[in-house]
Amino acid sequence: MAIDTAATGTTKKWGGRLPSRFFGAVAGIWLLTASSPSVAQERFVRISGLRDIDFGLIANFNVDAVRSQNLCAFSGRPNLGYNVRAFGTGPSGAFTLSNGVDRLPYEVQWAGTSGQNIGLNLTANVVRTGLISSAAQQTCSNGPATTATLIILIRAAALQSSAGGAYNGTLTLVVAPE
Amino acid sequence: MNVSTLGRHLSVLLLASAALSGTAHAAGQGNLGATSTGTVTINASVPQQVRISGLSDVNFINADPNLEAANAQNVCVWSNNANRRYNIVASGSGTSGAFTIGSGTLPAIPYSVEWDDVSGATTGTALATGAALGGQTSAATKSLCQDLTAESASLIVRIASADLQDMQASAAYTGTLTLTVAPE
Repeated sequence: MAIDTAATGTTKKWGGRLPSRFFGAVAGIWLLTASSPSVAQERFVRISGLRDIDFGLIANFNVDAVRSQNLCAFSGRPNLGYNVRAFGTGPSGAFTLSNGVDRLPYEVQWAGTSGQNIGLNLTANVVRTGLISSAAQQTCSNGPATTATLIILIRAAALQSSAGGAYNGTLTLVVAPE
Repeated sequence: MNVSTLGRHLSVLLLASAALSGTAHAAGQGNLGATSTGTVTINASVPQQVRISGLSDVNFINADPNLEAANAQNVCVWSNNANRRYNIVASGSGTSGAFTIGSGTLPAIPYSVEWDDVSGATTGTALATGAALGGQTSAATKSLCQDLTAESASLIVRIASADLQDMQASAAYTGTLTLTVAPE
C-alpha cells in the first residue's frame, strides 16, 4: 500500500511538475548548446594558410636568402592572444636543412601581422609569447585573410660555408592560446 | 538524375576538390584545437662554387742575381663541392699568357709558378700557363678560410738566378699573374 501510495504520489508529482521540468531541461540544453562553441573556442587556436617554401637555386652567396609568407593564426581567447613555438628537423629541433650529408642553417622569424619583411626571431623549441591575432574566423575565411607573417632566412655567411647540393627540411609551427 | 547518382557525382567533386586543395597547399595545415600544429617543407639548392682569396702582391726588391728569388705565400681556396676538390689555372701577362714580367722595351723576364693545396709549403707543383692543375683539395669549409689558421694553399713564385742576371739594374719590372679556380 505504501508502495502504491508512493507510486501514485510519484505519478501525481511528475504530472504536476512536468511542464516546468521539461522546459527547464530544454532551456538547460539550449544554454549548453548555445554557450559551448564560445566556451570551447576560448581554448582553441588554429594555424592555417601555410605554404611550402622553395628558395630554388641560390647562386648569390653575398646576400641573405629570404622568403616570407602570410598565414592565418586564429585564437579563440577573448584577448585573441596566442603563442608560437617552432622546431626544425635538425638535431634537437634545430633550424637546419640537410642535403643528406651537410647541414644548412636557417633562421625563423614571426610577425604578429601579415605583410612583414622582418619579425621576431624564433629560437627552436622556445615559445614566443605575447602575440595577438586579428583573425575573426578560424581559417580567416571571414575578416582578415591573413594575420601573421612567417619569414625564413638563410644567411649569406651560412651560404658561404655551405656545401653544394639540394637541401630540404621541415619546419613545424605550434600555436597555443594565451 | 536520382539521389544516388547525385551523391556519387558530389563525392567525385569533393575528392577532386580535396586533391586540388592538396596540390595548392602541400604544407601541413593545423586543426582547430587546444594547440594547433602546422608544417612547412623548406627546399633550397646550393650550386657548386669556389673562391680564391688572401692573395698578396709579390715584390722582389734588390734581388741578388747570384741566387734564385723565391716568394711563397699562403692563400685561401674554398670549394663547396662534396669532396672540396678544385682545379687551378694560371696565366701571366706575357705573350700568350706567358709567366713573364717586363719593363718597357727591355726583354721580358720569365718566372715560374708553383702550387700546393696545403698552406705553408715552399715548393709545389709547377703550373704551366693556361693548363689546369686538377686534383686539388681544400681544407676550408668557409669561403674566406675563417675556419683555418693559415689559409688552405700555397702559391710559390720564382725567378731563376740566370733570369735575374738578364735583368737591367734599377729597372722596374712588372707583370700580373691571374689565378682561376674551379670546382672539380
